[in-house]
Amino acid sequence: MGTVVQITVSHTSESEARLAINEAMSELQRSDDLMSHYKPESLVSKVNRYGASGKVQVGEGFFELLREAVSISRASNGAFDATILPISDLWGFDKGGIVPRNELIANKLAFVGYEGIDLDQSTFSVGLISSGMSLDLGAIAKGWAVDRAMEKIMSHGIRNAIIDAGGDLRLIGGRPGKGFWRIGVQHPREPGGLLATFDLRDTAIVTSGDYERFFIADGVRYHHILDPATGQPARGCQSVTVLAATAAEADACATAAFVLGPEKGLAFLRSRPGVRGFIVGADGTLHWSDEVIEGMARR
Amino acid sequence: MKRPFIEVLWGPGGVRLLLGDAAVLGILIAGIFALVMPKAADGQPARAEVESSGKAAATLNLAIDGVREIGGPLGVTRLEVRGGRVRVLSSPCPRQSCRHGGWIGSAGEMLVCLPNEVVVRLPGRLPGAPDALSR
Repeated sequence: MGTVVQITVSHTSESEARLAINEAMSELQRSDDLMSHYKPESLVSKVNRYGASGKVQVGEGFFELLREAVSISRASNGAFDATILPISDLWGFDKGGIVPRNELIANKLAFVGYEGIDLDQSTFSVGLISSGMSLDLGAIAKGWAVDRAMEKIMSHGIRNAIIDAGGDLRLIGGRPGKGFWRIGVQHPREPGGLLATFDLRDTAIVTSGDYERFFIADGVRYHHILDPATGQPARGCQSVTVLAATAAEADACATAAFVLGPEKGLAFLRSRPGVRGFIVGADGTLHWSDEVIEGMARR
Repeated sequence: MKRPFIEVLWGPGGVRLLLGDAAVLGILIAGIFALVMPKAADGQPARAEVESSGKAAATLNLAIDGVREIGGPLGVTRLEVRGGRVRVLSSPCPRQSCRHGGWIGSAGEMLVCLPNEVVVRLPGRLPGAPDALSR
């Protein structure tokens, strides 16, 4: 998963809590083994290798994730797109980064488009409509893994916990004696600084920002949240924070809203039941999806 | 009445101290520690704990400015301490996310370099500090 995972549990039995944490960690590992396009034996890698020549059976869980990914892609008019990998490979953010030539980006954009994901529910199988296409579920899979891990925690009767996978958070219950968890949101331009804090329970909260993975070339900052329409880093926002019932939805919606920019991004967030959030625009201005979330924030 | 005492095994035959003497000795030792050990002020931790590949590698005194080198599977991560804070000064990792994390100086903060398996933690938790950080 390429990230640090921290699990906080409050429970009456320490041994039960430790067992639950171990199971949740194993579940996160299993999810990563299925979803990582870096692992040759993952389901995603199999779809990327064989998906264009025939459908690959992926099982119900992975199938449902892909269906949600396609649904959010459609709802965001492709701002979130799980087929972005040919473009993100060009930028090489994992290897220090390089600014690709425009012709290369234009060529690879022909292989980006969620409409090319072919889902067959009768067999829980997935195909890709052309051989140059490939999946990258990075903008939703971490949240999905967190959700699955939280199911493990809850199956042990635990009602107060946080799973934190590199800042993608899912919370149940609250800190003992408080009834809520205090959650800080990273300031996009002040490393270590907080933009706001919230007292939350029973929700997921995910932030996407241009400060997470980036490189600077010729004085220009190039970050990893790419606009599937242009193949370039999206420039409308510094960060987007989304609250939703599941971390998978919050994860994908944060990326979509980031790509859409403040105005369309907020409209997108408002269009989804149970979803709220806020956007820091490229100029540093805060935009709130609604008064409730703005009222909840301590700044 | 027999006066309470504690027995300290120190040298041939050991040493017997009366309870009152032990209390005075304890206060003296605590005083010496308070003078010698780095102090935490205003919620700022006095030290940073550094792990490399899952094992304790160093404890940095945040009162003493300087640069410390920590080895990892990719090479050397250089940590800089200045003004009670610590940051990754340089790292052999490709993404440089740890370096981009900037300075940390508050209890509970952490810097992580996954590729080079170096973790820097500032122990403790400030009153009212967040339980988790969305980033």
